[in-house]
Amino acid sequence: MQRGRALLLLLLLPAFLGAQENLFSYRIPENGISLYLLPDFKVPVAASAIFFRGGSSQDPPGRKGTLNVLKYLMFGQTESLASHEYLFFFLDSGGKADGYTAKDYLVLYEVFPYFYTNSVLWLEFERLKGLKPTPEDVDKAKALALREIAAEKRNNPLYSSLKRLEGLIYGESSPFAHSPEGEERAIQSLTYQEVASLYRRIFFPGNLTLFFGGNIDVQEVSQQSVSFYSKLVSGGEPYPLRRETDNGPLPTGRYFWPSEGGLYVSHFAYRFPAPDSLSNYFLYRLIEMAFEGAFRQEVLKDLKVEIRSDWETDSLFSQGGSYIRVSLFTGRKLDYIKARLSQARVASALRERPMDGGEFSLLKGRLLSRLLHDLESQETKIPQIAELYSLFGTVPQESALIRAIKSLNVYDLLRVAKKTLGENRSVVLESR
Amino acid sequence: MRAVDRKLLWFLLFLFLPPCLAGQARKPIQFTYPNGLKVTYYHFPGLTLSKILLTVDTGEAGTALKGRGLAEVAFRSLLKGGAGFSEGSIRKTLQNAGAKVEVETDSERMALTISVPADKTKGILRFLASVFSSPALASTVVEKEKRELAGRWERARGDRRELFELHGESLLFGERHPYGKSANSAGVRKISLPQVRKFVTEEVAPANIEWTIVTSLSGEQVRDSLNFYVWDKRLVFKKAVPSVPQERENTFVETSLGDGKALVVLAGFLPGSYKETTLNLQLFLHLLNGYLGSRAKLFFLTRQGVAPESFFRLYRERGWVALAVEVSTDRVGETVNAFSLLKEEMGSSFPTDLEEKDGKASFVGTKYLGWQRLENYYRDILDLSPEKRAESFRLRERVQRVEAERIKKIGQEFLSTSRFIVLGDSVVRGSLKGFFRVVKAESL
Repeated sequence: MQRGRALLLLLLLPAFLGAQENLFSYRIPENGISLYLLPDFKVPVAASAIFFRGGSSQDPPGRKGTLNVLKYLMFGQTESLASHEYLFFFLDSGGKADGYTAKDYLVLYEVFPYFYTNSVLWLEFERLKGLKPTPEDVDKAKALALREIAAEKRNNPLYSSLKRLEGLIYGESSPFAHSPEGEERAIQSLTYQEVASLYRRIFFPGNLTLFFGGNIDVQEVSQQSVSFYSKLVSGGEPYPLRRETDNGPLPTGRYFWPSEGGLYVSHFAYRFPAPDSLSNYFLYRLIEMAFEGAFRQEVLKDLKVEIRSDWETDSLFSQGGSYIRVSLFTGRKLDYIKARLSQARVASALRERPMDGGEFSLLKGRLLSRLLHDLESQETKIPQIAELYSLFGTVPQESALIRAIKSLNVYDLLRVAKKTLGENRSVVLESR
Repeated sequence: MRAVDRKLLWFLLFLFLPPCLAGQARKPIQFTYPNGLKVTYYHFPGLTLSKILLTVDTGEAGTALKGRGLAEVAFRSLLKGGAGFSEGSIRKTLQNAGAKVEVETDSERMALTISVPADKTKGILRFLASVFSSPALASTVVEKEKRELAGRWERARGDRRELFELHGESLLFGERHPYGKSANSAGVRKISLPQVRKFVTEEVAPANIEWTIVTSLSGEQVRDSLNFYVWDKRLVFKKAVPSVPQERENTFVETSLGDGKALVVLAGFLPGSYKETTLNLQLFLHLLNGYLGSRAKLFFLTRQGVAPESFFRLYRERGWVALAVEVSTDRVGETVNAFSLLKEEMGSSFPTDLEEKDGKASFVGTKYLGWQRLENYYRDILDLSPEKRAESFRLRERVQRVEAERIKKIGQEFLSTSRFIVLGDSVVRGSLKGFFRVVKAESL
């Protein structure tokens, strides 16, 4: 015990000595779990998150959505916890437990009052020791996953056209082509054994990273974490993050989408590899913001009305490839025709001249402000940190993120925009 | 030797560890300028996003007009232009700084919340100080704000819930009460520029203003930024005295929306709990919300057979609380009866021990989750004394100390002062038993 403590201190010390900010990292040698502590004492709220490498791209062929079903099982029965007791702890304490599946990773997270930190450390340990799901638990998880798809279909008018768009972007046979929530038919036919098999492939200590943040006692959490999590038996090598896809040549150009239920849609999407540096990551986000601003202006100019909910921009970053899209949808054909012309004009204008120096500083300021607002709350910080961690394999310090944004210049943006928004990278899916 | 090593390691670890701040609320530093302006300042070295909360202790209750609107028009106009700053330049300054701005006004308090990246904080503080010390209040800006407010109030006529939200206070308190001023769009249009300027000069005075600043700036930098304040000493704020109106009558507001629906509202007063930040009141409202979503809902459905279109909605404003349900016009009479029976049940058994226990736990958790955003936390502790602010992280203990009797007392206060307000078309009138004063929606 004494020896273990001394070892822990010795191992932690360099991290503390070198720590310029509130970010400490440690790798548990017994099983390879990576541990990040991100203390923040402004408010009495703490958070924890488990990051599993290998996201929906690891769903078995023809079984799209298996990992998403597993996500729901992670709140299920363990050796000491009854089914959903884990979830009830957070419901009763007023905290929040949630999770989401991405193409490259799965994140389960909790936000809770600071005085529950020790309980949460134990709860995480308990579920990481191993789940004991019954076939009924798997059925319940499947039902929840199906409900998630139904809600998505109900709330997102672009749902089916976006599925087709991702197929075109990644290639229909790519494991990245399907959305993380999966497909209804595949989920319905999933067996207990198939779910268990993916569980064994992904849920082992070497494949996970733990984050504890917010109002935590660094010393206590680091000691407790090592004492708990070093007991977990290593299950193998970390799952390799897949680099750029080998999908072969992918189609570009314009594709037709039938107007469903009188809804006209038009997606302009641009593919690019996973960003290899923080600067590039933020440049892509700036391009998305430039799209947003320019499109709003163009459409307003053309239609003389605000069509707020009828268009959206988005970007997605993953090791299997990333994309930016600007999507337009409306039930009014005349508006659609006019707005689609604006969309095409904006895309070609942005490629030639994304913005001038003044606009660039303004957007840069907004991007920085968005990032800082995201990092302020634990609930919005976790997705941001998880995305960066999945792309770069490490958690950048807040000051590094701020520096990366501040150092961006308009010439880099021009260079990246020219390259990214080229015809050879674009996919257009539109109603006629 | 090994023992010495261990001691050395412990020593080094504690030397380089950040001070253990877990679970400790930051203590405020407070100072008051000679002109009466109060500043509460929290210093967080390394904070990347600063928060500026500005509260002015005045509102519609503090204006000399019979109707509402002057305070809101004045406060919103104030933020749209200052000496040397046009409306466009203010918006651009805030946008360029990546600032997020929220404005809220009620009868007695107007509040402005700004989130801004740390390196822009000093500039924004100076800018705000300048806007507040020499507001431009240009006539075009005031006219625009008047038009927008009047338009918003006009649109409320087409929605029963918004109609209640807008006129609830005047219906409850009566127009003679400082909180009961009517919200009349014609009245807003009559507000004159000199009235706006007079209100700002007299009411938005330094002694009525408190800044809460959460930042990485040093105290000296904060003082320097705010020294731009050049206001003289004026202190004329007359706070409204809250009270429960004597008349206790039910009201029927006759609308002509023709959609076959009506809104049934049970509204009560809380004269003993006027401060919104009072823990007892917040806890009562949280428990009441839980009660409405569970036991009261079941009571309506199973024992009374009343299935409202939309289940309970809880309204709360300074000094009063209301429960509302929307029902079809032919069920109004039954709904009023069901409410009367619900009142009896509430009076005898709300909250139960279990409701109190679960409610307290979820109240604490909900609060902590909301506090992830700093402005929510600092808004919550605004009215606490410095000692209580330092203890604010220990909310769980404070909540546990609240006795059930206190909650029950607030509940009794609500029930004993409650009355009905029904908003519906003329067809509803026949089903209302007992005395209901009738008010035409057009006359509001």
